[in-house]
Amino acid sequence: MYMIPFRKREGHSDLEQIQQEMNRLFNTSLSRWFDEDRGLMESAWSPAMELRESKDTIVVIADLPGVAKEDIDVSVHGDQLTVKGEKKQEKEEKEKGYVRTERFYGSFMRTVTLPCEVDAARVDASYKDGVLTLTMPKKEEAKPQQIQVKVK
Amino acid sequence: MNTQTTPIDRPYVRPNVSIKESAADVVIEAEMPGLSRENIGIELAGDDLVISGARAAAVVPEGYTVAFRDRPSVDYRRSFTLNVPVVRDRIDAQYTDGVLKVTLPKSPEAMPQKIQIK
Repeated sequence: MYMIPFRKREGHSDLEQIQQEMNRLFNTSLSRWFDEDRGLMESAWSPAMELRESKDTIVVIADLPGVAKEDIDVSVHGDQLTVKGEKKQEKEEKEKGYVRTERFYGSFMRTVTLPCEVDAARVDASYKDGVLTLTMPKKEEAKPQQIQVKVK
Repeated sequence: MNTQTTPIDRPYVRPNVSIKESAADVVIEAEMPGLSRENIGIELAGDDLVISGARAAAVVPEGYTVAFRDRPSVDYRRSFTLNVPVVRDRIDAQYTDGVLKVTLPKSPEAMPQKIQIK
């Protein structure tokens, strides 16, 4: 499981973006280059994501180009969000001659720790043009609460 | 689909591609999720093919902060040099699930010719 440090800063420098991209790439399984058998839970690639937060809602956007909607699996458990599934290759594609390929295929999985717990029953998921958008309302107890300070 | 590509002076990332070649055509598939069709550009000048996609300005809605982001927020752009002549009028482009698939049929003179032996 990949734990992502929670940053609240607005605006990300180019260097930060590169660092985050490197972190994600290093977490991607290297087995495809070493011709190992891939275990059931091992994934060959990890989708790029973005996490936005407001007072009431957490929005996660994931890039899943070439994945069909029915091949995506989303689950939420407390503050853990898991997006997994499979990117299938057309059978006839496998037979044609490839000059070059940089695209990853096969199973993918990524688990992120959300800033707080969300209400799993009210998560809205939509998928368009290779982009999965999850809108997750925060659990009431997790929202910032005003605490009255009594002055005696 | 718009054929004008995005200007080169804007920041961009190169999309992952797969390139396949058969006797009849060259097929390029580029992963460019989250674009609307009018923002996809395909330009062929001589042997130079440029594909691009302009991302809608990554505006974060009011009240939201970005906690982390490792998906690109800039445009996509990638250029290729073709090594075979292609039939320009029959170039086909499809955009499905965030993948742009460009099929370039080879010109007849580039395809293998059957020679009759008398």
